[in-house]
Amino acid sequence: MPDRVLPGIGLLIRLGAGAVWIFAGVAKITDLPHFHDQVEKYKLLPHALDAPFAYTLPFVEVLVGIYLAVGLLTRLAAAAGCILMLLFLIALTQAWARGLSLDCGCFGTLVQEKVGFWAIVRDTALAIPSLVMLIWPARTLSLDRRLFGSPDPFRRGAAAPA
Amino acid sequence: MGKAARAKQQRRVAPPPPVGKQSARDQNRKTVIVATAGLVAAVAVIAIVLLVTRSSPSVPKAAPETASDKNASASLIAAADAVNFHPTTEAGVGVIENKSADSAPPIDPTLLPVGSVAPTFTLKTPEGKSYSLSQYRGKTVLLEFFATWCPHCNAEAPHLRKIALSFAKNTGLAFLSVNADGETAPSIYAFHRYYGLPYPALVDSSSQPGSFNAPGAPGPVSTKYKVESYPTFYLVGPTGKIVWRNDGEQPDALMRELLTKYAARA
Repeated sequence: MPDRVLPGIGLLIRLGAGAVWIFAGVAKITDLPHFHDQVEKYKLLPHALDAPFAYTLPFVEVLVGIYLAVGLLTRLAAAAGCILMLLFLIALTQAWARGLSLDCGCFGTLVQEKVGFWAIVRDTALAIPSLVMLIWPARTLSLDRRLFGSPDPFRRGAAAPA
Repeated sequence: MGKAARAKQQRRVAPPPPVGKQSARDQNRKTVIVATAGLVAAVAVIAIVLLVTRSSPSVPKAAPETASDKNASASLIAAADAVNFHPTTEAGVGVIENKSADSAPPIDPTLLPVGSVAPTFTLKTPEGKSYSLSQYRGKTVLLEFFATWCPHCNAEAPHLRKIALSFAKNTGLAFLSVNADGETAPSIYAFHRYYGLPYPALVDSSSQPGSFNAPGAPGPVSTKYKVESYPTFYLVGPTGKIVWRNDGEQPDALMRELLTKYAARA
């Protein structure tokens, strides 16, 4: 395989992971009161925490997405992404198990999908790029490489990542 | 070690960076971590500012009692007084009602679909008077599912009262509300009396009764209508089919548009 293919694949996965988070965050930011309503409907958090959570999470998602896209603190951003995705999967699964008929709210008002098996499958699939970045943080065209000289695990001959 | 193995070994282990370069990288790392902490703090500040600057709530005002509420039994009135109902509110509610029709929240796809037959029901008011959806066949019915403790429902109530009064002469329209949290009759009566609602508020008892002071669970009619949040609205056409539905507070302008559009022709 040519030497550029694997790093290219790594870069694409990293950009994909970043795009997912940026899209998810921006979609929610465009209608924060609606997202607040969605969070309330899950009935997971104490009522007093619904609003602070709903008004913070989308910005955190955008931040995670930007860090992944530019490849800055890639592994840390991917870890944050994986934790968020795990929380979403727990929320979706418990809502599905409780038989709640909710709009997922995963992408604000831009994508509407009921909580259920397929929403869980989709979120699991969307978690994969972040998970890959957690294990092998791709550093081609990344700030990690430029600022810290971090090796790219997708590049043949790279030292094992720290 | 053979030549090939040595070359492989050299490829695998990256040479350590020069000392000056390493210290520059360490410096970069510190700068990035500090900048990231700053960004996280900025996100927290933005979220706090957004939360604080959400429209400050105004307490929905009481309206004159309706004749039917005035004539309620003494025991119901006493029980309602004991509920100690007072309007609930929170930041961000009571705003959308005054906005334009196109600022309505997106339709909740989990509700019963437009075109489907609205489930029939017969429920009683806190005073014990029965109402059936089927008795309104030939009219368009605005059906509201609410809870007395829900700030959105409290914000919406005075607006619905005004809208219902302004359409009072339209014989092709009717308004009904159903309590969707399995609340007791005194709670529902207290809410209905406070807002002077000119349409019936019906009791939909559930196995987990609620009240103004303690949330319950939706009753069987509310469950059939897939009510998951309050308020939830259905507009049922003259043939008993759903013509519009959504949940959350709605702009008055949209409500008026819909009621005018779908009102049964006399």
